[in-house]
Amino acid sequence: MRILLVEDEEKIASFLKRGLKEEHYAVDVASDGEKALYLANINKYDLIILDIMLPCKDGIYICRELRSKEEDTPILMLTARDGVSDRVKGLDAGADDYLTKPFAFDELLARLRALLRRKRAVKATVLKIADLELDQITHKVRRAGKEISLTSKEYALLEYLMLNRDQVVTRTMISEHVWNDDFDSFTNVIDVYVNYLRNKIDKGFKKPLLQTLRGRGYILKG
Amino acid sequence: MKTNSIRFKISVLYTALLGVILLIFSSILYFSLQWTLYDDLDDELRIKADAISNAITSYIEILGTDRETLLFTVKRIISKEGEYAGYSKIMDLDRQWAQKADKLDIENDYVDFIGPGREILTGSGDLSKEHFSILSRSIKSKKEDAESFVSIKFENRNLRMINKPFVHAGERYVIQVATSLKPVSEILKMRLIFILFSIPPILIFASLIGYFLTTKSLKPVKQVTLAAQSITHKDLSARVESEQADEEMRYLVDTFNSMIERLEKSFKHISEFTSHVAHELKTPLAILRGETELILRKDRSPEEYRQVMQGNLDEIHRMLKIVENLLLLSRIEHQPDMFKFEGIAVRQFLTDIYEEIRILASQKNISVNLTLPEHDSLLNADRLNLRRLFLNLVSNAIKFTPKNGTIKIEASYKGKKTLISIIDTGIGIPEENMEKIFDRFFSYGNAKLNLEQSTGLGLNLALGIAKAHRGDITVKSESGKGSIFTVVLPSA
Repeated sequence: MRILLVEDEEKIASFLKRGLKEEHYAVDVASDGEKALYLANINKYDLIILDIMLPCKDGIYICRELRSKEEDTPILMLTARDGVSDRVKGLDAGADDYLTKPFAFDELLARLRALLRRKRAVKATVLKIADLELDQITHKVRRAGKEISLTSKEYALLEYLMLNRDQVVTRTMISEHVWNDDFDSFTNVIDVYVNYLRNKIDKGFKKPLLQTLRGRGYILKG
Repeated sequence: MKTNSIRFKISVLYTALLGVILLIFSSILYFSLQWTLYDDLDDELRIKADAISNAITSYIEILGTDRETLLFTVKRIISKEGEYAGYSKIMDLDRQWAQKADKLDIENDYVDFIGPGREILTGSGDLSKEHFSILSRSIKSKKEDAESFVSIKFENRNLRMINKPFVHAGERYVIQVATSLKPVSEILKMRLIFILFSIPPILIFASLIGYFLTTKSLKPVKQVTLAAQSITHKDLSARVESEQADEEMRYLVDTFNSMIERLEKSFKHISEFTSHVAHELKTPLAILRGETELILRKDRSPEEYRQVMQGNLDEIHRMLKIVENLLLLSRIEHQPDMFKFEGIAVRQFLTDIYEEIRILASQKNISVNLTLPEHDSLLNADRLNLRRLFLNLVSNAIKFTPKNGTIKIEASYKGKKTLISIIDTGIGIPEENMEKIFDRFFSYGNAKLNLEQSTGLGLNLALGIAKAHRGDITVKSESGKGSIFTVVLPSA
């Protein structure tokens, strides 16, 4: 899942990015409103974390701008201000959720997961396809009861595929939702990772789940 | 009605006072009436006694001056008894006397004639001899021939009596005329009843009015009390209307209102300050919390731990600086005597600042020029805080000046003031921020220039220190060109 983090405080942006990456999210950071609008325009994010106190234009304004462009990405607002009127202003500007600083990192992660669940029909936090299980909270993956160890990228890729199970997933989609801005589209890193993943979840098991559709993309089918 | 209340006390006092005044006044009226009535009565008696005396004199002139004749005459006059052979001689007198007696209405009075030895010689018919002793004893006269008056009680009647001396043939006799005091008593009794019945209602009425008036004039006090009760540290909005108050109360009300307003401002200031503090500390706290929580989620390498701890330490220092600066600011405002003033030589002081700053500036390759005044002078200042002030300004200059820039420190004198300017070739201050730069917590962060976060208190503190030294800081700046901060201080 790809997150846009809009935060001007360098140190906060730093540990948030690191923390989110450890949780297998792809993260792009924008340090002011203009950059945020620009990035949101050219990329499709699964979630936006938006700080209210930004230089020049504040978070409320940016939020309204995003919504006015029919951006329906879930937005979580962060701020040091915790008055009721501020929360109301933030939510009314279009935010989906609100966290005040200093916040517990675990709470941030849980709220992110909740926001990402909203678009799904099935809201369980354990994704299943055939005998393959992925727990979104513990990040543990099992197949036929046996635990499979995946790297961060592999996990992110598998999670994305499972969220879009039984549907064709193009390379473009993968590059947009599993990688961040640093993605180099001239390499075949996606193919490489798909192969890594396939080796781990399909090899040695009865039914192959991850299939390649030539010219179109991949599909995870149970 | 509480017995302790002003209203009660005033009403009681005022009513008691009124009561006393009324009593005194009524007594005066009563006794003066009594005196007048007695006086009138005494005059009447005097007239009667004189008439009797004159009648006796007239009679004995005709009838003879011996004692027998005298007694006969008196008896005749007083009780109309006594036969006389030569009646024709006194016929006229009789007639005159009868008329006079009638006119004077002596019929209902007691009349006695007392002899020189204080024996009752004769009297009007009503008297019985047993009671003579009472009557005769009532004669008091200091002078031999002065008349005297006395009030006596005889046979359950109150009488007023005159004792008039009558001298005849060297002997001193006394004519006593006593008349009933009943009419007088009646009048006095009526008057007394009137007084007794009218004073209480007057007092009650007066005390009610007094109570009412006191309540009315104390109304503002009640309002102030109610307003004061409604005030808590959260709600300082209560005010008392002063338009209807009387002059003395108005002063109280106005003072009360302005006191509340000052308190309100104070509280607002404090709560704004407190929320600012909390707000400013939240960011470093968020960083500390986030970094620490993150690093603890998994096992990390010692190098990673070290990095995070170092970063946390930086944040802790930052928070310390904020708290220190805020404490200092608060002390400057509320404890101005914290400063220890001494005479500071300008040239040496600025040279010290220059030395300190040079190293810091060289990190950004910024050159620092120092221009000292030709002759030295003294500043009356707290050395530590004056140093803080200038280091503040100069480090700001370094922060906002890009690499290879220039900073100038210039000092000069203007009349009784010393001017020290810090001139930089930095990014300057945009017009819209000029008024705000000295505000508490105003900080100009700019990610493009990669500026470190400031506490936002530096300039605020600098200005506070300058003002505590009875000086000021002025600023001139042009965006993109640079800024000039001038500190004006009174010369010692």
